[in-house]
Amino acid sequence: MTAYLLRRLASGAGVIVGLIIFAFFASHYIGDPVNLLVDREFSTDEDRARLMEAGGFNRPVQEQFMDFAGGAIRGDFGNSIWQNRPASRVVIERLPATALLAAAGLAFTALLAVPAALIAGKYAGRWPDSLISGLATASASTASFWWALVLIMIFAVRLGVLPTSGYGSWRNLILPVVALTPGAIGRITQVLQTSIRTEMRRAYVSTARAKGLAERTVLLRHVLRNSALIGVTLFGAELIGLLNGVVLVESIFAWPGIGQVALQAVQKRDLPVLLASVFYVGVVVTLLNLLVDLAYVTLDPRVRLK
Amino acid sequence: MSATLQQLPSLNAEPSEAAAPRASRLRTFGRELRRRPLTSGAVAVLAAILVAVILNPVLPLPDPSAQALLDRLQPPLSRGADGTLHLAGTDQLGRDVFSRALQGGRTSLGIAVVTVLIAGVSGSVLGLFAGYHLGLVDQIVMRAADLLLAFPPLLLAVFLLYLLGPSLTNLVALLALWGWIGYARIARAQTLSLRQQAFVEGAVALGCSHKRVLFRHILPHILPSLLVAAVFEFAGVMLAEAGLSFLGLGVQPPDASWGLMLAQGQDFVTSGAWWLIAVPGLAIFLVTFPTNLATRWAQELLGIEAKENR
Repeated sequence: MTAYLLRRLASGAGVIVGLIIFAFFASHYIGDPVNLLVDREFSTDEDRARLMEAGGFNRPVQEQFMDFAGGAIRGDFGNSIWQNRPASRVVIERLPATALLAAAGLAFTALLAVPAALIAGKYAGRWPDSLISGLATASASTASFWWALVLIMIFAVRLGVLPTSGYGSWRNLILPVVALTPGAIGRITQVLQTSIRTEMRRAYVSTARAKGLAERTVLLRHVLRNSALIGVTLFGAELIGLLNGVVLVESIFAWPGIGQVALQAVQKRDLPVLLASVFYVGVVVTLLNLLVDLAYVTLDPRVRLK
Repeated sequence: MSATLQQLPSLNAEPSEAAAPRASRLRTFGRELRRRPLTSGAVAVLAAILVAVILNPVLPLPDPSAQALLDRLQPPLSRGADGTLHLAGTDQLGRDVFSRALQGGRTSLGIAVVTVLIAGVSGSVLGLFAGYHLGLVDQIVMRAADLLLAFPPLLLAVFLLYLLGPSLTNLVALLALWGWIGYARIARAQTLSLRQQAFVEGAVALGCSHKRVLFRHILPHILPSLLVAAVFEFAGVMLAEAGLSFLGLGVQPPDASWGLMLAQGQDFVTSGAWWLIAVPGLAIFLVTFPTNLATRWAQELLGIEAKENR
């Protein structure tokens, strides 16, 4: 177990190092850092030369890279161009809002997807099964940002029961969560439904039924537990999916999270903040992946040996 | 019947199915369609959209980029000052939303088709090589896939499009950068199990080159799964393109795409111009929903578990 943990930690560190190398070379060589900071149309050659000098973009590559990597490891990406304070502080302040949105989204997804899959399993082959299957596919096919606009139009504009955007109260949380989750709900329901259907054909289900257990107990105590394994992997994958959707949903609902700050950084040409948000999201996702793997090993003794 | 269909991945091993008279195969197909009214209906709607989008230039519709400032934000089924009927209303510049949606569909669907082709071919070839040769190629390809999947793609795409600048080529390249992974995984997994089968060993023993073994003997067996994956990917690419265009990093004005139309309509949500949101959004949904339904159907026929496509 310790060896496994160490190996996973090492590979996680490898991903972070890869991300730093990628971020440096992408921002310095795919794009010209001076162009990324100021628009070519609105700057003179002298301005650009001054900026080149001030940012140290004319120094040797290895020197710039060591500076960048050393800074990144200490969480120093330089000052935000837009706010003139450390870029990592600008980004880290935004993490709680995104964490809240993603956690609420995950809870909401589980709350809908697991019962839906169980109901479908209970009525396998009958109309509730097909209905849930159809709804799940529809849900998985929905574009979150479109859904967000539809929700705003109905609940905020027409009915006026929920705010169009903002942050602070639980009423602000409802629409972003509902907008964020259709994809995750749909995909998780589909896979859990298939998994439960397969498990229902297993011999242990007949045994459980034969010894007189109520159908409810068979489903909840036996089938669900065996389907939970695939559930853990799925929720791990969907967490990345939710963090992905956060970029769109936060920008629509003016939710002050990391997705919004990344987009603002693009609009304000604030390269340090954009780099910092890519880096911190990478760190968070790597840690979450690690947690998912550990949960998997704890739940399934069969993979413990590897 | 479903028993024979479930063996479709091994088409060659099922001579009775292949040799069945055409009429009976059509009847089987018809029965499948009737068994699934929702899927058949949805696919019919999708086909109608595709035809409308392709025929758009010759359809008698208003010019999609003709502005009429007197007819701004007119609701669906209203008539403009010059008497033209606006089926889905007009936008903030008085342009006909229905024509624009069809024109935007050319962009959105075109991008999706090109991306799926590029990603599908490169992913399949990479997966075939990785699964057949194993070793270093396999390690590099699969680690690259893991790395790409370990990060929220949208944020990375935002970052890269900011560096590269938004353009159609960059958009397709980025979408394909994630698109190939699904095919590579499927192709690799299936090649891995097929390469030990007698018919592959036989082909090798007869002196076939690696290329011939891969593309003539192995590929035909995994093609059905890859085609299903392509249909599945199509919906995902549509959504990704729409999202990036919505953020202003994909298709740029004056071009139209469904995601861009939504972004432009966003400002008019509070003023009640619901058709600016409803029309492009429904257009996206009416492509992704039928494709996803068709994917599930095909997966069931081929006996592929939904999770394999993830």
